[in-house]
Order: sequence, then structure tokens, then C-alpha cells
Amino acid sequence: MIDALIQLDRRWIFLAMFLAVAIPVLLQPELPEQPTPIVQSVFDRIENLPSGSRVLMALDYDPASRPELGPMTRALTRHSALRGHRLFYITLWPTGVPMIDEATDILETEFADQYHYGENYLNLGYGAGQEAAIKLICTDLTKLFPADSRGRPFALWEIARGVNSLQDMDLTISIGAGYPGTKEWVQYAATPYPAIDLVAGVTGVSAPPQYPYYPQQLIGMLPAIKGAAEYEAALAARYGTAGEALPALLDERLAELSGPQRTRESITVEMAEAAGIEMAQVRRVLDGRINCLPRAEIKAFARVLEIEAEAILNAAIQDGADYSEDRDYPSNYLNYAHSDYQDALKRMAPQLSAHLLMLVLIVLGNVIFFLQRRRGVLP
Amino acid sequence: MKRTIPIIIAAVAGLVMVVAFFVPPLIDWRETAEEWFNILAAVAMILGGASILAMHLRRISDQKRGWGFSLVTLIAFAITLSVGLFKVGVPPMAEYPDRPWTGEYITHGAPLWWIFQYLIVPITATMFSLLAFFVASAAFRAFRAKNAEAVLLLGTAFIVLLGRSYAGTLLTGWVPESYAALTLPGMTDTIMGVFNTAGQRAIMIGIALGIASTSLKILLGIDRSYLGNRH
Amino acid sequence: MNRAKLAPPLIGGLLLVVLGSWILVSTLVRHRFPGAQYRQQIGTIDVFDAEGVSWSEEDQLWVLEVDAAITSVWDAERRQWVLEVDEAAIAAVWDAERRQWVPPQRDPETGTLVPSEEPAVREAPLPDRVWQRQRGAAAAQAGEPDVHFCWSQTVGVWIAALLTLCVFSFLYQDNPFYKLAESLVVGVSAAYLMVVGFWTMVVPNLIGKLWPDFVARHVIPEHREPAQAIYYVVLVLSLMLLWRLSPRGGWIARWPLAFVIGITAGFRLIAHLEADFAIQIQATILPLIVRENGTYNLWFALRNTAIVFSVFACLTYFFFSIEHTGLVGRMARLGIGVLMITFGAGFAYTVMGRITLLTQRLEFLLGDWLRLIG
Repeated sequence: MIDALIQLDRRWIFLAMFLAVAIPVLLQPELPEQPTPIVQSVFDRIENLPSGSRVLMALDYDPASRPELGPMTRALTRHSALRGHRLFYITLWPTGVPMIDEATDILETEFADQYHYGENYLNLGYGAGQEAAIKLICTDLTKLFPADSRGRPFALWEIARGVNSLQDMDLTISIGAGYPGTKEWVQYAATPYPAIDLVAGVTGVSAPPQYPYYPQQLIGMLPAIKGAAEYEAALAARYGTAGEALPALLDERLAELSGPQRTRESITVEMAEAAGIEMAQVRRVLDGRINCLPRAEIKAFARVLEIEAEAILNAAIQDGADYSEDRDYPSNYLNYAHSDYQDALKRMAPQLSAHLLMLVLIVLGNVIFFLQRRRGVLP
Repeated sequence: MKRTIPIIIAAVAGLVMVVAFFVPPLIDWRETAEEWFNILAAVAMILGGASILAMHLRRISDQKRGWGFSLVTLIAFAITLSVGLFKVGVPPMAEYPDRPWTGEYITHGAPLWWIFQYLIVPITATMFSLLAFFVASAAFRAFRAKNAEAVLLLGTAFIVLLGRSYAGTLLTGWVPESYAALTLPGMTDTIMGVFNTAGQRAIMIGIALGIASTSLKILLGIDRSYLGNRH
Repeated sequence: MNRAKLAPPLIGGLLLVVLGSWILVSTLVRHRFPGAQYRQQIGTIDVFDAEGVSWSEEDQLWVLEVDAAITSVWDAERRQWVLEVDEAAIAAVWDAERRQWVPPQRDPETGTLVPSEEPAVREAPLPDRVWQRQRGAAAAQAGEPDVHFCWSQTVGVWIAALLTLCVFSFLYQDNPFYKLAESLVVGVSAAYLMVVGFWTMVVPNLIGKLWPDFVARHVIPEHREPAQAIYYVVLVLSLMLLWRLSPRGGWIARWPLAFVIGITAGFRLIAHLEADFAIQIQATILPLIVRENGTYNLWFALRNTAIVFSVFACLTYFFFSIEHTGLVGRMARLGIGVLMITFGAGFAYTVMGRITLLTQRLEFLLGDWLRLIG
């Protein structure tokens, strides 16, 4: 047995690792997470900034680090948008350009009614020069980014009003995979310019070396996929199910109409079609991806079901829907506790099984080592 | 001229950066130098690409072993460069449809975007993910508790691997809140916040001193290794 | 034949059969073609190249002119050519929604030309090119308005999946498929970096400063900067740097190289001393007795003590100018211990990172490609 283990072809270990990751990926179990203080401080910082604050996100990573950092970018973008902050995206990595597009896609789809390019978010694209680029934008942003990624001069955009340098941002977020990354943002921006507040999201490999910067030079940090998962958990706790996708009054009426012939699902689809509501929206209602319907759709439903719209809206507000500032879409429209918005949390189950496999391998390797030593094979 | 002028250039450029730190009115000089630096950094990227091209061209012309793969590199390079530089498949800006070169060079659906999404992303991401397998193999073969130091390293890895996954909560979730520091996640937090912070800080201080001395050597013209050899 | 030699083709064949069956089942029974990709059309851009059709920047539409309805005038202040429209001479404007040429009218609010509701003008040119502006759409969005199946992206996902398998094949042993993927990515990445460097830095920050009118006319329409002759110096430095490619005159590239090295040395000197030396020492000067709200906090006192002594011990270990014996030796040994804990933590975090990368690749293969999840 021991001899077989000593001779073990490493490809069996590869197969074990493949299965340890593939099985949880297929089964997708959900594991809970609690934010640690270092992650919570990032969350609190974004949460407590007044709505409309300027936030610059530096997405300094490439496809090889996207599995770890992509979920952070998405969670931080969503949180900033939920708080109504104005977002500026840049990257110091040439391969980071499409990473910005992934983030802005979220604003264009999930926040389409509130976020408009150039008004409250801007993609400045790639800036060459590594540390020199950071140093330069600390005192003059337009010297590195004379125009945005679409080729329009920076100063002509509405969001650029009053912005001359990085020091005009209320928060800088560095999501970095290496060089240039969080370390350089600390060295060249946060340390010499006290006006620059910095938080970071980093890969597993580069997380431990950033700890000495916390909390003096870094307000908070999301270390590795675990940090991203904790952030998603915090986001879900704050912006998760705040109400019901269908306010109680609507739900009751639909329940009355359903019966043995017509299931709740089919009647909801039927009524939604009659009300002229898009199928995509109906699907979101049925699979729980939204917290509360937009105002116009509640009115459409009410018309078809012959209920007073105001009564439903009031019920929805009592359930937690936030239609403030005369918005059609409530600010907590999407349910961020839904697994669609939890890429990092989904990746924690494969972490668990792979970590356990690693521990088993280390123990097994050491048992073999000590047995060999006892036999006198090894010194 | 071949060696003296570069040394003077390096010293003056570096000193501008240092002096501007202490003399804020020199900020314009510093910014100009940084702007030039950034442009040269982009040109260096172009130079890097061209060097790779030259290397593979040589391999093909010499018909070295595996030159067929160099040909693949070269064709991939030529196609990507042409579709990227000529903005193939990129629509113009909606506000200026009469100017074909105004669109973003990487646009959803355009060939360069396709190349990035379906060639660069899968290959680079998978190459890095291979390390998950090799690290597992190394853990089995090389991670031995031979002495006290190795035990410390292994023990820490054990605690952090458990503490940073759900296993930590499962195994020590029963510990009362007031003793949270004794749970696996709590111990991991202490390791990261205390010992890792201290160790990394000491390394950081050492590196900082090393970099400061190397930089000074360059600025004072003592270290001239960047000039290459005399021939 | 040797069993070991038979294993790879057998396993490979079995995998192919399983994969093929799944693709058939998925396509025929579940009506979900593996790797099917969708795109959402978010607008169109019409481009005319026909005689007599010009783009009016002010009105943001295409106009069909009669005689000399549109003339170009040099705007000295904005430093670019602007179009001057003789409204009376315009025959029609392009209605992008109705996709027809219609008589124009003036918007009373904005004062710009807009398409009128009147019937279309006949015998007018059609767009020479219609660009589709698009974004990715999830498979769940199939059937929604403006969401279409996308062949190029579906083929892309298949190629990406096959390339992923090519790279994974290295785990069995080095082979030509892995080498093919490797060679491909080297060529593609090098060219990609050149393209990004050219369009994002060289064009706006160098060419745009030297020949702003040219850049404004062709690439960045609203680029407004005066020409700055000083940038010829950067141009010369850039060309000198590119001289490295030449087999002769290697010393020419030393000038820009020296500039880059000098600048780097200059800012690194200050930044490292400030952020990684001075502030790190400051952050280590911590109270060893912590008193909060009138009570002693033993836990924080212990933490602070551990940080201070650990940093000191590690630095002692790094101090090679004195012999590590006696008290110094014991401190250095303690330092090694702290460093081992640091490396252990680093190892665990590295494992975490690598596993995440593998997780995402398997999510891609099992989800985006084979549609077994999601």
C-alpha cells in the first residue's frame, strides 16, 4: 500500500483535484459567509459615502485573474450603483480594457434607468506607464486620459465637471492582480496624498503582502475569492430580499385565479402577457431575481386584475420597496441575494472540497515520509 | 557620447522626480517627465511585440525544431495586428458616422473583441489554472514536516486553509462568541493581522532599503548595468 | 500491446463518446445546443457613401442635399472644419427609425433639423453600410425582442472550449495540442498589446499632441488641443527606442532607456522610503499596554506586543552584519519562525487563488459550453 502511494503517478492527484473542484461546480451547494472586519470596512465606506460621490475604480487585472477579481468588480460596481455614486473606470493593464466593459455592462443592464454614460459613469480605458501613470493622475487626470475610451475629450463629459485629478475622487478602489496594482496605488497615491482614500480587492497570491498597509494606508481590502464572497454576503444582507417580487395584494389576487387547471405560474404569465409586461421581467419575478416590480408594471398588473394601483404600491412600499425620488424602478429593484449575483459565493464550495483535498494530500505525504524514515529509507 | 549622455539623462530625469517631491513648484516638470515616460512605456509595448515577431521570424528562417509553431504564432500575430490596427469590424461613433476611424478599437462583436474573448481569455486563464494541479502534487510530494520551521509553515497553512473555507465554521462554529479568537476563522484573522503583517512588514522594509540604494546608485551613475556591455 | 499505451486512446475515445452523446441529447431532447450564444441588438449606425449625402453634426442626421446645400467652413476657434447647411437646399433627411428619406422639419424646441412625418422621398440612396451595435445576452434571454442567436460567438465558445481542453491536455503530458495553444496565445497577446498601446497612448498622447488636426479629423473628432512642438522630442525618443530592433547602433536606444530608468529610479526611491519604510516603522510603534474606556484590553495589548516583537525579530534575522549568536541568534530564530508563518499563510492564499482559477474554467466548460449547470 505504502509502496503504491510512493510510486503514485501524479496524474491520479490531478484527477482527484479535478473531481474535488468539478463535483461542487456541478452540484452548486450554497455555503454561508460572514464579512470579516477588513471586508466590512470596504462595505461600510461605500455604504456611508453620500449618494452621488465620485468613485474611481482601477481594474488592473487580466483574464488570468478574472475568476478571483471579476466577482469583486461586479459586487463593488453594484454596491456603488445602488448607492448612486458616480463611477470612473480606468485600467493600467492593457488586458484590463475588456474587464471595464464587463463592469459597465452591469450599469447598462441592471441600472439602465439610472445610469447614463458620461452623466454618472465613464470609461477612461487604458493608461500606460505603471507607477508613473498613477503619479500623474494624482495631480492631473487629463494628462494621462485626454479622452475617454470612446474618444471624446474628458472635460466635455458632464461627469467630469469639477474633476481635475485623483484627489477630487471621494474614494479610489484598486482591484489589482500584480504589477502595477494595489501596492503601487498605496505607494504613489494613498501614501503621499492624504486626500486620496483607497480600498482594494486583490488576488490570493498578492493578498498577504498587502496586509501591512491596513488600516493606515488602505481603508479596507477584499482578499482573494473569500473576500469577494464575504462582500457578496454583505451586499445580500443589505440589498437582498427587501420585499416580495409581487406585492401581497397582487399575489393574493393571482392565487384566487389559480386552480387545478391553471397553476400560479401559468396564471402569472397569462396576466403579465395581458398587461403587456415583457417575458424577461415575468421570468425575473418567477425565479426571484427581483425584489419589487417597477411602478409602471404594478399599474399594468393592477389594471388587468382590476385592483387599485395605489393600494398595491403602498403595500409594496410597506414591504420595503423604495420608490423614492419619483423613480419608476425602486432603488432595491434587484434581489442581490439571488445566486445570479453571487459568483464568488458559488465558488466557495469548490474551495472547501479542494482545501480538504490539499490537507489530505499533505497529511498523506507526511505519513509516507515518516514511515519511510522509520524504515530507514530516508535519513 | 554613447555612455556619458545616457548616464546624464538618467541622473537628471531621476533627480527631477526626487527634487519635485521636496519642491512643489517643480510639479510641471515632474508631470511632463511622467507624461513622456508613459508614452515611452506604450512604445516599449510595441517594441516588445515587434521583438517577439523578429524572434519567431528568425526561428522560421532557420527552420529550427518546432518552427511550425512559430508559424502559428506569426499568423496569429499578423491577423490580430491587422484587425486591431485597422479597426476591422468596428462601427464608427454614432455621432460621427461619416468618419470610419472614430469607433472604439475593441467593440463587442468586432474581430479583436472575438480574439480576446475566445483565444486570449481561455488559453491564459487555463494556463494559470494548471497551477492548481501542480500545487496539489507538490503538497503531496514536497511538503514535509522535517523540522520546527517546516512544522510552523505547515501548521499555518493548515489553519488558514481551514479558516478561509466553510470547514473552519463547521469545525469550530460551536465555540462561544467571547472566545471567537480561538475558532479557526478567528485564528486565521490573527495569523493574517499579526504574524503575516509583521513578517510582510519586515520584508517590505528590507526591500524598500534595497530599492532605495539601487535607485541612488543609478542616479549617481554608480550602477550602469542598464547600459549593457561596452560592445 | 502494453496496457499503459492503450489507456490514453481508450480514455480519450470514451470521453469523446460521452461528450458526443451529451451534445446530441442536449440538442435534440433539451433543445439547448451546447455553447449557443446570443446577442442583443442595441441600435444601428447607418453609413452613406453616396454622392450628395452628408452627415450634419449639428443636427445629428444624414441629409440629402440639392446643389450646394452643405459647405465646409474652417472654424478657426475650434480648429476644425464644420459643415454649414443651407436649409432651403436640403431635399430630404434620413429617418433612422422608418429607414427612409423624408422631408425635413425644424424642431421648435432645439432648433435642429429633424425628420418630418411626411411620406418618404423616392429614388434616394440606401445606406452603404449598416452597423449593428450589440451586447452579449444570456441564453435565458432567447426569444426576447432584439435578442438573436449569434453564430460567431457560438463558434467562439466552441473554439474556447477546445483550446481549454488543449491546455488541460498538458496535465497528461506535453503534446502538440498544448504547444499549438501556447504558440497561438503568444502571437495574439503580443499583437493585442501593440494594438492597445497604439490606440490608447500613441494616438491621443503623442500623435494627438503633434498633429491635433489630423487626429481630430479622423480618430477623435472632438480633440481640441494646440500642436505642441516639444513632443517632437518624445517622438525622437520613441523612434530611438524602436531602434533596438535594428541589428546595428544598439547604443541609440540607450538614451530613451536611460530616461525611463532614471525616472523609475527617481520615483521609486521616494515612494519606497515613504510608503514601505517610514510609514511601516510608524505603524509598528504601537502601545504595548492598551487602555480603552478606563479598562485594560489584554487582547489588543497581546496583539500589539506580538506585532512589535515579530517585526523586530524578522529585521534582526535580516541583519547579516553581525553574527547570529546569543541573544541576536535567539531573536533571529524567532524571526525565522514568524517568516515561516508568513510563508505558510502565503501558501494557503496561493492555493485559494489557483483553485478559483480552476473553478472558473470548469464553470466555463460545464456551464457556458456544455450547459450542464446554470
